Amino acid sequence: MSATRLRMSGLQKAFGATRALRGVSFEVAPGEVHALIGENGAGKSTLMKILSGAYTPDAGSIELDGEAFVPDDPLHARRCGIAMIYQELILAPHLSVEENILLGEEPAKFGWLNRPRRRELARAALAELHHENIPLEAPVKTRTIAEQQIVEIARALVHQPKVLIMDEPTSSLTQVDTENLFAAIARLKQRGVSIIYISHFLEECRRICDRFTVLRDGESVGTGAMASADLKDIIRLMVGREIQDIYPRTPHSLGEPLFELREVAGRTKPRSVSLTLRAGEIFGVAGLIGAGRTETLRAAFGLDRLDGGAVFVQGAASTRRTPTQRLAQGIGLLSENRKEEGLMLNRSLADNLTVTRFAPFTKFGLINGRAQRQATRDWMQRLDVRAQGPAQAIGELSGGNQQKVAIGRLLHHEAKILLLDEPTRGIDVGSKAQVYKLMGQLAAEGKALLFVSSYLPELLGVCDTIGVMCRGVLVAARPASEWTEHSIINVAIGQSENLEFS
Amino acid sequence: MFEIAKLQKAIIWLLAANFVLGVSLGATSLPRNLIQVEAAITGVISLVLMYRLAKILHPSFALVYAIFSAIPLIGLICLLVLNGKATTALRCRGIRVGLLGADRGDLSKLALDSSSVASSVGSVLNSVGPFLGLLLVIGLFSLSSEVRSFFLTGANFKIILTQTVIVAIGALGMTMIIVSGGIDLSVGSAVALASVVGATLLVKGFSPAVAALITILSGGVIGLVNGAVIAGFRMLPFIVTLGMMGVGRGAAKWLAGNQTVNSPETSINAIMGLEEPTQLFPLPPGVWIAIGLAVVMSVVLRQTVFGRYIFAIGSNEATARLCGIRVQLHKALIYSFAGLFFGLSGLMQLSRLTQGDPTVAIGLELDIIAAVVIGGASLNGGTGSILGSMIGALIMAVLRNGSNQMGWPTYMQEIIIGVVIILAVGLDKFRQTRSA
Repeated sequence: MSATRLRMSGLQKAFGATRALRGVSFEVAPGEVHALIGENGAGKSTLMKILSGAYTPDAGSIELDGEAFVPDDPLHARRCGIAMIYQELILAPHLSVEENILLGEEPAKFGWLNRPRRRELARAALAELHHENIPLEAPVKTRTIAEQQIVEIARALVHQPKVLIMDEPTSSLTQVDTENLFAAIARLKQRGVSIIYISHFLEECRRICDRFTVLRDGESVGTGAMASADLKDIIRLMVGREIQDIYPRTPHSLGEPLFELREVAGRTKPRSVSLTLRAGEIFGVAGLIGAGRTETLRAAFGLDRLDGGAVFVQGAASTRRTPTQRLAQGIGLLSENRKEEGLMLNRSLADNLTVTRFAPFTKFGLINGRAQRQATRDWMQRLDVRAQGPAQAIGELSGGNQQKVAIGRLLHHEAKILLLDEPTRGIDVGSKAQVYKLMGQLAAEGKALLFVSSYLPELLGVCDTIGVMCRGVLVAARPASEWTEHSIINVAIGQSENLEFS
Repeated sequence: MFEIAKLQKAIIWLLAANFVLGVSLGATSLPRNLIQVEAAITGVISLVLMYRLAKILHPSFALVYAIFSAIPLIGLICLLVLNGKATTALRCRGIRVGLLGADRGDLSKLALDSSSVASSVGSVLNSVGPFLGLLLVIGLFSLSSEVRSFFLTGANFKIILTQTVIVAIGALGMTMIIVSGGIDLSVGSAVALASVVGATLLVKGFSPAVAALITILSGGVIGLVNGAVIAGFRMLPFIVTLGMMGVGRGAAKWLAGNQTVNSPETSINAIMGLEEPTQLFPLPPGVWIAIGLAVVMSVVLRQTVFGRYIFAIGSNEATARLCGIRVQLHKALIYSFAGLFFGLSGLMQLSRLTQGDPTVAIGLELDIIAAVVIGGASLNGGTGSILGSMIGALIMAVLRNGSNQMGWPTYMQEIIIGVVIILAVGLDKFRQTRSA
């Protein structure tokens, strides 16, 4: 066995004009736990998808045990000994623990299932993780999230992997379960399994990882031994870019508080969020994926259950309301998931834009289609939406134009409080700039904007105030001028003070 | 009676003229220059139709109208005045109306890029597709001259239209449900129950009006229960209405004492009665009720807030919720409202058979669903139209009737209808993947 289990050199991958990977190189030794660190969008998931065979790299090479490794597809990669555990669990909830562990790899002869053998294999995999206590017959959905995670790992172990990739495995685990997971990782390590451990939580990485590689903007920018590294240096490597002033600012001043959350909590996330949004304010919410930002907006808007805390709208208590009532209060939500939730893809642009408020063109219950199209045309002009016309199906437009229509819906609704969840996700740079400009104009008109984003430069460039969320809690809210990318990341990964494991 | 027949004929021609105009102008995504060509073609077709209309109304009208239509410009203006929608549609697009509807200079400037032509042709096909299917089916049965002499007659079309009524009225409700992304399997049972309810009330001596009203309401009650369970417990419509299929059928048999209920001779029987069976007009009142309700429902689905909400819920329920539409409330409304139509279908059934039969209309829901799907609706929700569903219902009736006239056995009809359903949906799928 060579001293290097897996070597990646000069990996590149582009999607159209976007260069997701610009050159990634690093090595993992047998029995090593290697931390892969980087901001949202640094290229970690693209890299992992290349390793697991879902994507083919444009350039660069991968070596596994000294031999060139070109995975054709995920099955091939798995057979070659590369196993992946995704952040989102992908178990079949109704099947038993045993069935899940050997799903797709059932021991069988001529299509006839060998049940005793399957049981044996499943038991062995769980034993390896010291989790024999999980009942093999129980449907997976009856087990806790942590046990499901163990099942997921056991599933990866059945193939005797050489390299195990774990993507944010602790993001949904409690402290105790995290400890159990770490113990399991230590045992795998002893067996000589190489582990690539992706996490935003640097303290965790420090505890269990031997070495680290930092990715930034699709490049590997630094590698080193974890024990000797200064966390500050790692953060500097993660951020390492200048903020450019591409954010047009429209001068605006803050007015009365319009929208206030007090210790708002949802079913699992968020745990406690308090913030005050004023007229004419753009309030940014930063945080890592899974910190509970989207869930906060959804609970406040009434799409998800609100389990605790209070909501105030224009000074009056108004805690539990349906989306219908929220819209009537002049609150609008822009969904982060444009295709699945935000838009009715096979309906017309006009219907998508005006569905929350048909009133201006409705007489005696009948919609005046001509007036509706005219109003739509006006909005299309104002928002610079490129389309054939108001009757075109929205699914035929580009992402940027779709997003403008989705925002236009809030404007047509004359919402005073806009909850914007990742409004610039998946749209081109030109459209992004238009969205920033529009946000500034809306604030100048006295509207209040709550702006959730995973991209720090835009938060720093556009917002008046920024609050940072970590593990379901809005930790700190301060004027944007008092934040830097470093300090935001520090708080987001639970570094500053002792908030992480409180 | 002769006067009424004439009036009915006139209305049919008026509807046809509107249909042709509506189809071409409904395809709103057409590029401007194509619209002009369309306007020219449909202008001519509409003129012919309007001419027939005028002739039916009064022979001297025809002369006046002929003079008018000799000057196409004035003819077209007349047409546009008659059809307000067309006027606005043309004016919206800034179309200059000249000889035969389109300006020569503009026609020469046609610069059509192939993709927009393809997509426009697709969208026109989308709206006239079911209609072409109907013409095709009628054409096929008319091939043999022997059959044609029975099949292609006014008397036979009167029968076809009358046979369509029950499915068509059911399809009005089902279109709402399917567009909203749901399904209702309990229609056959609801129709049987409603017809038994009506017959029982008539036997007990209630007046026909009261009996009719309660018959319709009984369908509404079944729909209300369906809707309340589906919305209240967030259950799958397929399962809930499957259960209701059994409940409704059982209730009908119970109420009828497990036998048919012969209702006394009342005015209800006249709704579907065939007067003067040798000629097309006058059509029975049931046909006119169906046409009238179809027009109303078409407006409800296309032009009202309620209608837009139905489409929104079917297109993307998550978005509908995000946009403040009370999804569950509307679902309950949709099923209840549709139930009223199924109750009316039951009334038509009662009128046709002159008895309440608890074992009638088994499998009717499948005919209705087939009609809606042939008419272009998707079972995934979000698409569909009343006009399409009505044509779908007609296609089903023509297939049945034609097969009878050809002397084919019933098992043959069943096979043919099954194949047609698969073909229609397959064609639709093909169209969608092409346009996507």
